[in-house]
Amino acid sequence: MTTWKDKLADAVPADWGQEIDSFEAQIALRKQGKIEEKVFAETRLRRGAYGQRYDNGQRHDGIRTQKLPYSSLTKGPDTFWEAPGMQRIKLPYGGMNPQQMIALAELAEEYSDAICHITTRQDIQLHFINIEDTPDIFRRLAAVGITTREACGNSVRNITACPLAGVCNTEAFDVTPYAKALTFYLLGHRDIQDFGRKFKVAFSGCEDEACALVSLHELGGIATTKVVDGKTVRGFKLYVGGGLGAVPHQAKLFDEFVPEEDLLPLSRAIGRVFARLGEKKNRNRARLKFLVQKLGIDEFRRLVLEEQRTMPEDPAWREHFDQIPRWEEKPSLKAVQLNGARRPEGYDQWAATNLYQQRQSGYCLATVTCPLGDLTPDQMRSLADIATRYAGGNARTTVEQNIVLRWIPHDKTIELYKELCAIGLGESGAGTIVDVVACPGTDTCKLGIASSRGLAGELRHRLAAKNASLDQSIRNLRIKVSGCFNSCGQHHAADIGFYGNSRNINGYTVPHFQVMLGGQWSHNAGSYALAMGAVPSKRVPDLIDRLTSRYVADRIGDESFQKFCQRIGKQALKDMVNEFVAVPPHKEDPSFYSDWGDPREFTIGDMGVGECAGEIVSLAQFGFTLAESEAFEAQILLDAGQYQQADEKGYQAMITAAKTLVQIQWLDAPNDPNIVVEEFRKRFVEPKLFWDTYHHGQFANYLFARHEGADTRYTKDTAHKIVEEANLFIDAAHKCHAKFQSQSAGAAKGALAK
Amino acid sequence: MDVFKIAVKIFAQSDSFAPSQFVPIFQHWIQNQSVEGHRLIDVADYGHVVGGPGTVLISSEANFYTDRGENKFGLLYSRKLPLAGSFGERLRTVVSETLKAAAKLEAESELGGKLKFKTDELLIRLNDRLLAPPNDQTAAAVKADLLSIAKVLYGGKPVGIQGKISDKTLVEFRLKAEEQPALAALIGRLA
Ligand code: SF4
Repeated sequence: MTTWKDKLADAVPADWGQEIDSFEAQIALRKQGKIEEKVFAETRLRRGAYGQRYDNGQRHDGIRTQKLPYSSLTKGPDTFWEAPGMQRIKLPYGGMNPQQMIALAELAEEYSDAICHITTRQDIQLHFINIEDTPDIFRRLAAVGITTREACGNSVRNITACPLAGVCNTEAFDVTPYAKALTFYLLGHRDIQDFGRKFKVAFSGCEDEACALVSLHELGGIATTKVVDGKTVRGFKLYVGGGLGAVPHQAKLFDEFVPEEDLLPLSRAIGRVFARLGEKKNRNRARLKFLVQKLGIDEFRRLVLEEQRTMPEDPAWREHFDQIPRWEEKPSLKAVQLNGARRPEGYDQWAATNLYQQRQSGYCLATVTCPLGDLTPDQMRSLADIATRYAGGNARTTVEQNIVLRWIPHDKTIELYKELCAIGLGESGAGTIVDVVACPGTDTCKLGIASSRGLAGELRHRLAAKNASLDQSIRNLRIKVSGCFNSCGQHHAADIGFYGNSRNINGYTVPHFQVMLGGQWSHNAGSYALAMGAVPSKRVPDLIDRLTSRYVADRIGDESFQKFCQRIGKQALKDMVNEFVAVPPHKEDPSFYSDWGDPREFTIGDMGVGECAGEIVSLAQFGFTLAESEAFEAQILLDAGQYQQADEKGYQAMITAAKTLVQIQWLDAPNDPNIVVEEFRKRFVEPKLFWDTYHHGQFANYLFARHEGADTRYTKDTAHKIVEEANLFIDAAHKCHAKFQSQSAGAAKGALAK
Repeated sequence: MDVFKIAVKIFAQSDSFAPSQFVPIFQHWIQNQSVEGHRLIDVADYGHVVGGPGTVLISSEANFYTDRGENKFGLLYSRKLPLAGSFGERLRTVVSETLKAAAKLEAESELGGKLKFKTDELLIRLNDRLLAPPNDQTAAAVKADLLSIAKVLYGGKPVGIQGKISDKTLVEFRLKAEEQPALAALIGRLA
C-alpha cells in the first residue's frame, strides 16, 4: 500500500522528514510501552499534538458521569490513546499561501471534524484528531512548508505579528521578515529546549495600535528607527516578561532600541537565561514574567547582556538575518481605484468594517470574518483560490480569529465581496463588537470551566441582529471571552472581557463569567482590564446591554470606554454588575443551570488536567528518547533490507545517546560526532562512569569501533550487529546517567551536611 | 480499493431546521449510547458556519454531521475507523449506518415528525486522498461496487450514478434514483 511517506518523499525537507520519522517511531515505541507516558506526552506536545476534553476517559452526560471505555494505553498521564486530540499548526506571523491553505483544508476534511479553527495566536487548530494520524498530517504540512514543531509544550510558540505588517499606514517598517527569521532561527534550537514553560513572542510595526498585543508576551518587539550618522537604521523597542493567565503582567521595557542585527542573538541570550534560571518545578511560577519579577528588570537585563557577550558563537543566526532584505510580497493585480461602479447591497457596510486602505495607493486589505474563528474546508479552499486571483496569494490569520487578504486592488473589492458572500464569508463587522473573540473553552479544552464559544456565539447572534441600530461608540468596542482564567481568549485586552468560572448555589453548580472591564487593546494591549465580579453565564447578554447603554448615555464627547470606566469608577461599574448576579431557584428557571449551547446540566466534573503547561521532562530524557527512536528506526530499516541505512541509523543512535550524556556536563556540546566521541571518552569513559562491573568498557567500545568507520560490506549481519550494539549502548547510557545523578545527589547532600 | 474512510450523505426534504435543535438530540444519544457499534463521545456545534458541518455527533468510529454543505441540509455519516471486508462490503456498511442514523433522527420526538429524508439520492464521498486519489482509476475501481449497492437499494430500478473527479475535492459519487422508497425499506434491503 502506498503511504504519504513514500508519496511525499521528495517534497518534505530532509531534516523535517527525519524528525517526523522519529516521532512515528516514538508512537510505535509508546504503543509497546517502551517510552514513559510523561516523556511521550511532552514529545507530542512539542509537535503540537495536544490533549482534548474527555481524553481522561470520562464525560458527564448531564445525568451522570459516563466512563468512555478506552483501552488502557495512554498518550500521557491520564490521557487515553484512543481519545480524540487537538492538533495545533503553527503559522509564523499568521502567513499562509494558497498551497498551504489547500493543505489545511484537506487535512481538516480527512482527519478532523471538518473545521479549520483560527486561534488567538494566529495558529490553525484541528480537533478530534487520532494521534496515529499525526505523522501523516505532519508530512502533508511539511510538504507545503509548515512545521508543527514546538506548537505546544515548553517551547517558543508561534511567533505572531500584526496582520497589517508591510501594508500598514502607521508602521515603522515591515516586521514580517523579522518574525520569520526569528521563528526559523529558534525552531528546534538547542538553547530553547529546556524551558520550564512556554515562551510567546510577538512583533508590532508601531506602538499605538493594537494589532500585535506586544505587552502580553514574554518577548515583544516594536519596530522603530533612528538616525545614526545621517542614516536611518532599523531596530526594535524590546519588551520582556509580559503574560496573561491567572497573574497577568505587563511586559517590561528591556531596551529602547535594539539594532536589527542584535535581535536574533539577543533573543537567544534571553532564551538561555530563561532556560538556566527559570523555575522548572513549580509550573505556576515558571513563565518568564516570574523570573523578570524575581530578578528585577535591571538584573535580568544585566544577565542577558552578559550572556550575549559570553555565550558560544552560533553563526546560524546570520543565515536567517541575511534573508530579511530578500523578503518581498507581491500583488497579482495592478492597483486601480474604485470608479463609481454599482455597489451591491451590503457592500458599503462590509467595506466600512472589513476593508483597510493599504499604505500602497490603490490597494486594500480585506478582512474575511470567520465566526468564532471557524471555517470549513470548502471555504478555506475557495479562499485559497480567491487569494490567488485577487491578492497575489497573500493571506494571513489574525489574533482576532479572522483571515486577511492583502493587496486587493480597490476596483476589485466589489467582485471580492460578491465572491466572499457566495461562500458564506461575506459577513461585515470585523473588529467590531459583533466580532467576539473566544478561546475553545469547554467545547474542547480540558481546563475550560464555562462555555466561552457558547457565550461568544450567543453574543454574536444577538449583537448582529441589532448591529445597524447600535450607536457608533458601541460598535467599536471589543469583546473577548476565555473559558477560564488562563486567558487564551485574551480577555484582559478587551473593552469588555469575560472568563469562565462557576458558583455553587443551593447545591447546584452554576456557570458564571467573571466580568473584566476597561482593558486596552490599543497601544499593544497598553493596560489590562479590571475584574468586577462574576455573573451567571445566562445574564451576560443583559449585562452587556446595561453597560453599553450607560456608556452611550453618559459618555462625554468621544471618550473611550476605558476612560469612561476610569471616570465613573470601580464602584459604579461594580454596582451595574451586581444588578445581574442573582440566580433564580432551579425549579423556577433551570436554564441558568446549563451553559450556552449545551443543554446538559452544568458540571465542572469534566475538567481535566491541562497540558498548556506541558510536562517537565529533562533534556536527558529527551535525548535518550530520541536515541531510542533512532535505534527503533534502524531496526525497521534492517527488517526492510536497507542495511546501509540501518547501519547509519544505529550509529546515529549511539552518537545521540553519547551526546545526551556529554550535554549533562556541557550544555553547548556541538553536534560534530568527532567532538561528541572525544568528549564522551574524556568525561565518561576515562573516569569510568560509563562502566559496567562485568562488561567494563565494552559498550563504549561499540561506539568507538563504529566511529572509526563502518563495515562497508553492509550485509544483514553487519547491520544487525550495529543495531544490537546501539540498543546495548543506549541501555548503558541510561545506567550511566542514573549513576551520575546519584553521585551528584550524594555530593550535594555531603555539601549540605558540611 | 483499500479506502475505509467513506462518507455518505442523505438529504433532508426541507432545510428548515436550526442546527441548535440537534444539540439536545445528540446529547441524548450519548446519554443512552444509543447508536450500536459506536462509542459516542461528544457533540460539536458549528451552526454559526455557513454551509458548514452543522451539529456534529462525534464517536470513535465515525462522525455524524447535520451537514449543510452545498447549502443543502442532510445527514452525513463519515467513517473514521477501519471496517472489515472488501470495499463493497465497507460501502454497504457505511450506507447502512447512514440510513439507520437518518431513521433514528426522523423518529426523534423533539423534531415532531417534521424531519424527513429524501431516499432517492445519496452522496458517497471517499475521504482519503491517498487511497482514493481523484483520478479515473479510482472511479473505475469502485464502479462495480457502486452499481451493486444501487441495485440492492433500488431493486434494480434505474439509478443514475454521477462521479465528481476533481483535483480540488474528494472523489464523490451521487446516486440518483427515480423513486423514493421508504427509509425502512432501504435499511431492510441492506440488512
Ligand atoms: S482560557 Fe482556559 S478554557 Fe480557554 S483555551 Fe485557555 S485553558 Fe482552555
